[in-house]
Amino acid sequence: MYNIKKMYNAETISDAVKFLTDNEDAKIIAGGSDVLIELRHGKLPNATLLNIRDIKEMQGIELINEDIIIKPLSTFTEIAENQIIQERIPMLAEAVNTVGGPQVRNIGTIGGNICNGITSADSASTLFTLDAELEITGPDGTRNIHIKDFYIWVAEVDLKQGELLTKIIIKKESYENYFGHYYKYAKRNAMDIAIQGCAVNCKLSDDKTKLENVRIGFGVGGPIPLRCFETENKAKGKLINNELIDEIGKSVLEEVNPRTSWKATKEFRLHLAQELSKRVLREAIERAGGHIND
Amino acid sequence: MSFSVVGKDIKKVDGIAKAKGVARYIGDIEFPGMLYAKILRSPHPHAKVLSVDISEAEKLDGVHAIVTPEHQPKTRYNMAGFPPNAEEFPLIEDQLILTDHPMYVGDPICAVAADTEEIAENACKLIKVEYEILPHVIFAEDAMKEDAPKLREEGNVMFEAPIKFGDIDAAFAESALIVKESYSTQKVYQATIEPTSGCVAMWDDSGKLTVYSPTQMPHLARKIIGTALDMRLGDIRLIKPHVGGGFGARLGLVIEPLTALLAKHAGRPVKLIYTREEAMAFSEHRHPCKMDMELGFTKEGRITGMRFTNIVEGGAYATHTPSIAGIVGPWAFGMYKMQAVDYLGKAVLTNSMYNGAYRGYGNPQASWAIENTMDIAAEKLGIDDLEIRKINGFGDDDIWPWSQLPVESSGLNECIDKGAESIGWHEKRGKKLGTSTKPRGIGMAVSCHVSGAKPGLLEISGAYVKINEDGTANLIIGNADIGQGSTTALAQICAEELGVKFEDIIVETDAVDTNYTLFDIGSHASRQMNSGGNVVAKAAREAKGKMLEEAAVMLDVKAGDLDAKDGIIFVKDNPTKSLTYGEVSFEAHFKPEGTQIFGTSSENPEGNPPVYAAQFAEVEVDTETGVVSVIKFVAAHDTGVVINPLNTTGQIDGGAHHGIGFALTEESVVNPETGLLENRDLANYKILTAMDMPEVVSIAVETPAKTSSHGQKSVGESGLIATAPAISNAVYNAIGVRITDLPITPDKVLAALAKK
Amino acid sequence: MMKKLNFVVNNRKYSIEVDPRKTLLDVLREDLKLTGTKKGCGSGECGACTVVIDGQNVNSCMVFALDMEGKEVITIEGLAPKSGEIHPIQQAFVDHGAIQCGFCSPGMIMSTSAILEKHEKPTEEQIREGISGNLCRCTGYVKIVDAIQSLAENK
Repeated sequence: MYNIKKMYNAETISDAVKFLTDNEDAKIIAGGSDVLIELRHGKLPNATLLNIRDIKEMQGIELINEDIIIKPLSTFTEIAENQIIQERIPMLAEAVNTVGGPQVRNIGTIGGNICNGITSADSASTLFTLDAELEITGPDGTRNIHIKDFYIWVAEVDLKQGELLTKIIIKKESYENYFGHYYKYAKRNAMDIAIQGCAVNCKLSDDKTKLENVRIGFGVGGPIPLRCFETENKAKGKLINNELIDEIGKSVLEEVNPRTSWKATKEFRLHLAQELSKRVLREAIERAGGHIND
Repeated sequence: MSFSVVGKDIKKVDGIAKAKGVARYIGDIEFPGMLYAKILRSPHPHAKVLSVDISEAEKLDGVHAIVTPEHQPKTRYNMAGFPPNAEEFPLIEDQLILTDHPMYVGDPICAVAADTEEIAENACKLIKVEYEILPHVIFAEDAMKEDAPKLREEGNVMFEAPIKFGDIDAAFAESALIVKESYSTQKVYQATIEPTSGCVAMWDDSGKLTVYSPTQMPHLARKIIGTALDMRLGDIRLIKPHVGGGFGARLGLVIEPLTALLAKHAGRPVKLIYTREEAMAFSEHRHPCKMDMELGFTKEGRITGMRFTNIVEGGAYATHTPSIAGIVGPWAFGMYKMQAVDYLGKAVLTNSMYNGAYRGYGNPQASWAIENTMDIAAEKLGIDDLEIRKINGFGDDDIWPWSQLPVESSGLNECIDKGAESIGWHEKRGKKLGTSTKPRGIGMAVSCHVSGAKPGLLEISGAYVKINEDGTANLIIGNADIGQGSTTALAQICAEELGVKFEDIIVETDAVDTNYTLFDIGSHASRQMNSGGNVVAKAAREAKGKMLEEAAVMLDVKAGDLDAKDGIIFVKDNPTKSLTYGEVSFEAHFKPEGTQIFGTSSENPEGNPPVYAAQFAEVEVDTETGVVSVIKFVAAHDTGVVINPLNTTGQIDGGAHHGIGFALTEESVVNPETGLLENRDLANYKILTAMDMPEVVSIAVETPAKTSSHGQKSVGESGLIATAPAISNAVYNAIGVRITDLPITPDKVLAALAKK
Repeated sequence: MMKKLNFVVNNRKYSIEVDPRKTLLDVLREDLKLTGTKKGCGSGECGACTVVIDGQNVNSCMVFALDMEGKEVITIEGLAPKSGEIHPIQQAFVDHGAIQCGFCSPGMIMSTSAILEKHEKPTEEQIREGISGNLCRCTGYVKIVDAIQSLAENK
């Protein structure tokens, strides 16, 4: 039994926007797998909850002109098992399959995973490397932003009063001919939170010898998920070989900024950032049909 | 020997009730008018309570009772479930139910009983407590410093356990090799899936108390409750419901006296159930130990002597800590023959939640030190790992130094051979396995353990077997089945000895009731098969003897000419001449001078046969991330004669889960400022999931004990003892570096590799 | 303030007044007295409270009871068709020694039922993944995996 003041069940997006506009302190609850834990730990005393799980417009995964539209209420299980996702962006299925265990994946939603603003969110670094766009709906209509601009600070995202996340859009040009991989480093193979998470998405030249483009994302690389843009720019167009991989592994260290906690030291997380970026890049290149010469 | 019920895969007697969800655990027990309790705990690691103001809390609607330190008897007690003859371990009685001198963050100050848990919790928030903050110290090493705050007048080292025999200097002088190494083991959590603990207590108008407690030791729990509440034991009735795992976490009391105190003040039944977070932060974990070991060897690999010091971090109250300090040494010299030992264990008080019993009881710590040391020695001496263990092991006719009782039978060598075969030791050891960035290695370690606590502790068990009118039999025992299946196995012994079918034995696992069962020390020290088996067999034999006498009259033969099997009493020379158990028992009851036939036994068992095990691990080390993965794990255990094969291998399988976690992922992290547990939930305390467990092969080696009823020994605790060193030795085999402080985490592996 | 909840539990329709602050676990245990579903943590970390909702295994401590409006919930009590009967999954757990203390068993068995719903003949990997949200401290999962494999083989 949790200490909540009020719970409102919205049935439409506009209904939800109105409630959020009228209730400044309202907390959105979708699947509940994060919010109920916060309630349990007393982090949301006397909360006003807006339950959005019945909003039909926010459910489902669609393909519009080959752009992938993931509605935020899609559960991890739905995403992992969805054919559109499996065929076009399998790395996202791979990433969400590392969340918790089956029970959590059956209720946890990708929208919640993002809006939580937590750096270790398993979907986040992958969505960063897919250049995901977020549609935010508020009292003044909708606005679209890149996911990297959505994260502001720990547990703080760019949702103004009255706004909620209504779509996750992955444009055709963001995923076509890209191959990626996500690696979650945690103490356990299930039921765990990433100590470091790395996603790499790459596109090779036609002859598969050069990195035409590469996107490198980290969860737990800093207080919020991040992309290593400088490293990516340096790597663009480079010939694929071990030297390049090592260079990229070193270069990401300039862009990540993990912290020490009782769970892991900064040094260890940095080491992992370097190793994982190399390892994940290798795998992504291989998936793209490339070959790394020893 | 051939048995008809013993040794068979009998399904657990409570299996169906548990599978169907009808088995009742403490949280499922409800009574009319029941109240729910919450505890107000100290937020300070060390303080004096200056005042407690409950006036606001009392006014809250739905609050029925609030107890403060003023409301309790002044008798101090010790939570640990020790019998009173604990001569070797001082039973320091230093605890009160509630305290006005909190010694750790979480020490109970007050408690509330209310209509709901929510009200009780809100009431706790309304209680005003004024504290004077006192200086505190969290870690044992700091507590032993001269300038450390003194937690007791006598000093922070509450107990020292020196054990010496032989001439250690002479032994080392004649040694060809002395291996000297420092080791540490971390604090770890039993992680019963039913949180420890919960309690329901209620009083009747005549002043009698009934307590439902998910304890491992119903009779000793009753005794400690009696001490804490200043009561006659006969006035306390303790009932043990189904228990969701023990592993030592329920070896003594947790919150029983407090629940009873609240129920007395409220005049209603009170239920107190810990949340997972409370269960983790405020129940006893395994003691962290810091150990220095020196082990001397002849050039042939025989151990000459051992010098061993051990600092045991106890936490805020004594409970099990002096006992652990005393026993880690004997676990080490109980494993191998040695002529000289100089051991010193120190039990240290600190301002954190106290540590206690956990499966293995000091043996995993000892094993960590000695089995890593053996691996080092084997390499230095150029002796095979298996061989060095075999040449130092005890023989059947030796006196076992742990108990000063005969070894009876040692299956150590067979365990080593069978385990080695299963893991492929001879094919793999010494070969380069795996790849350059993912090398593999194999390693092994051995262990010994007890089949009871004799002679250090009393070993009394009791059983009562009554034959019903129709020939079915009730087996009534005070043994605490906490999931391990001891009741099922004891019922098998009962059926075997009575000569009836297993299904004709009626036994309950969920209603061990101190009013109706004979005294039993409890389920600790892996003792139920030895001690419980002894009394069950004797009680059954007594009942069977009377049945045969009754049948002899009915059949007009001598009792000695009769035997029984599958519920039929028959003439040995002429088996067609027979009666059923039902026919005989009916006659016994309802003839004119009728009487019910029963058998009883209450005694200590004759021996305490040690059990041996050899465990083998194949590991893969990711040298880029430092991750150690166990690929395959083999555990060969000398269990004596197996009473129930499924239950026996089940214990070994489960031990591997604890042991691998202890080796690699599990660690109770104590905040260095407050002493409070950081990772007090199962998301952050990492017990392994089904996706983390490797292939586990559990092998039972049946070397019969001489003194137990059917040759059985123990298997309850032994599963995890050799696991961590076996993995450590495999890691060394893979990468050539040794991590001596548990757990073997990736950051430690990387740091060690970098130094290499 | 109590609110109306209409849902189906173990094939039986319920229309009850519930406290909106309660989780499904609270309502099952406290209001419906279905105590077979166990509370091991209250925060989705152990799986002891697993039930099956519309064919999927879910931690009942992680959902508000009111969110069950119109849904169909199966708990451990509803797995066997009638009282006095035992479901094949339950029987397999008993027969293979997959039950020790029994506290994780109801949740583990409900996750098993979800695995078998999803996979006709699950592989060992699928079994291990399927029960990875259910912690067990007694068995090392060895005999649990055995039990589930026996069910897969008999299909």
